[in-house]
Amino acid sequence: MMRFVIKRVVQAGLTIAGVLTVGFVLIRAAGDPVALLLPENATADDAARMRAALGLDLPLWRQYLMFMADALRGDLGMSFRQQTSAVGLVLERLPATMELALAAFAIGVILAFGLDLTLRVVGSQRLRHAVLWVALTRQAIPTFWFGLLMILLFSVTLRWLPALGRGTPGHLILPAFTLGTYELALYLRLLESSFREQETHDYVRTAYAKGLGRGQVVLREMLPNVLLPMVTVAGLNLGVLLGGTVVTETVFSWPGVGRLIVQAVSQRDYPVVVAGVLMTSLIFVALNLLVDLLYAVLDPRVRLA
Amino acid sequence: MSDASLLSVSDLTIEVATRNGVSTAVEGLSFELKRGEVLGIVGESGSGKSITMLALMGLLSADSAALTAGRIRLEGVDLYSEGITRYRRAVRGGALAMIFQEPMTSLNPVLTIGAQIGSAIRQHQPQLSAGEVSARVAGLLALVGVPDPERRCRQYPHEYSGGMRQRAMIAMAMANEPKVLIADEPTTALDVTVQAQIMEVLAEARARTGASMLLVTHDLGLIAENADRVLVMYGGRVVEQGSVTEIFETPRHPYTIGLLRSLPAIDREQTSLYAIPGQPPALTERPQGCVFHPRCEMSQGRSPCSQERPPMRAFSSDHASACHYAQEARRWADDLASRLAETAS
Repeated sequence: MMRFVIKRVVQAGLTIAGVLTVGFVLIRAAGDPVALLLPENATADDAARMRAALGLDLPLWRQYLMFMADALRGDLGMSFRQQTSAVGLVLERLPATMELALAAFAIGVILAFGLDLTLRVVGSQRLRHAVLWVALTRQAIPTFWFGLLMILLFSVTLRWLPALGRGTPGHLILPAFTLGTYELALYLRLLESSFREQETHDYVRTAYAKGLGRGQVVLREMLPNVLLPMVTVAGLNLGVLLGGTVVTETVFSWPGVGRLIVQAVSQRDYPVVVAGVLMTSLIFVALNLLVDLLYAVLDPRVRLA
Repeated sequence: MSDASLLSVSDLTIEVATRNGVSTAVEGLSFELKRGEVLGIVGESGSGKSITMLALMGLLSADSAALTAGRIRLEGVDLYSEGITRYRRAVRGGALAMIFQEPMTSLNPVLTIGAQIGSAIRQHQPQLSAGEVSARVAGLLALVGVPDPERRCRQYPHEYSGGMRQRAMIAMAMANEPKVLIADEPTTALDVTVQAQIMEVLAEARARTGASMLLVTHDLGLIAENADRVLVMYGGRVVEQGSVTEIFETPRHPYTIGLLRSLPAIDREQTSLYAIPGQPPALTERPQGCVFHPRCEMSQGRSPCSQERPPMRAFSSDHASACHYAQEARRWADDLASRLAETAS
């Protein structure tokens, strides 16, 4: 167990170093940032002074080592556009993204399991398919369009909820619902296919042959098996959400990481882009480790080594 | 129905939904199982043995198979009469318990063996405390010869070998001391040496509880060694039934004769084996008349075989055959034996 964790931490370190290297190459390949940073009427002297101040006159390998050493201390340089640290900008946006991501994730997972398991135990296949159909329809609607419809209905027409920005719990409802219903459809579909797959297994017949009722077979015998694929998908999916949900954030003017990164890309603010990518990679690495550990708990056949 | 009859099946017909519409998988099946008896059921794949066993357990899947006629009575009570759901739940895993063919996949991979046997006990004896249940689980595992049961009941199926898993399945089936044990090909998936052990375990468990057994198999050797009576099924019907001695010594149906002659025997002057020509009919293409007639070498194209369904005719108190020419069967069997002996020399 301990060896597994150590091995995974080393792997994670290598992954992150790789991400940083790619980031360094991208920043340098994008050209001379001095031109972006200086006003248009700057002289060649100004440019040379700035280059020296940023260490851009050093050989590339020294620049790389400096970049990596700074990164190790959590410093990815200053934003080209705003005179603050790039990492600071991302961290400042992180709470908003986490709030939205976790709310949407919770809505999706709790509703999907609640609805699917209830209808499965009750045994109404027709009702379950109807719910699935509604969820699929939601998934088929592009999120930006669905979000705009929500704003039109609940903010413009009914005037119940604020449309844009973040602050009160009321601000969270529309974006979380928009994103959460998309997640709901995803998990409902996954539950449907996982249960259908489990139904073909002989152990289900054995369980019924013992005299167990449908509820017991679904909840005690099949659900532990269904959880395995669910955990994998949920881990990856939560990573995607925490990495920023650009479309939803943009529609609702939600001050999250996704919007920050997209803005940084369009403004060629590379330190911020690298900081955002680094944060997303860290989240993915951590979630993958968590999924692997959960797997070992849920599936007795998995040995961590 | 005699007093000794425990399980009685009469005129059972099971229809299944196939791609080409509804087909009859089992037609007019009748048999009786006496107390303490082992009834062997033999037949090729597709003869309807397994689906009959699922019908007995009330496990036919509702959207693909249905029992359309006939009765299944356990101690005189019709299992498919009104209020079936409740009664079947009490019967399943209680009075009737089943052991399946594939011990590798028939256990839940993420639950411990102890939990899986325990849930079978709790389902039918909810008054037992958790401690009593785990003591019974350990006792059952000891009964079926799983060593160190206290430790092994906390293990998962993947930590058990195939033979051990089948022992665990037997323990699960015996959990509520069933009156009838249905063993559907219990040893097919196992090594020959393990097969013998499993049959011994089954015999011991039955001796302890007095359970009767339906032993479904395509292995005639297993029947000869373990069954009291035999039911030979072909194409969804019973073609011959009787005591093991009579069926093995004086078979009265060309299909049974063919089956017996297709097995090697060390006490026979025979080096080549008989092969029944053709293939068993597909569910949707079962022939008119006698289901076996297209493959029957005794029939020689006689018209009654392809026109009329042969009725079950009794030859002794405990031997009946569904063949129009059953009286010729012994002579044909002798001819076949000498032919096989000739090709040997």
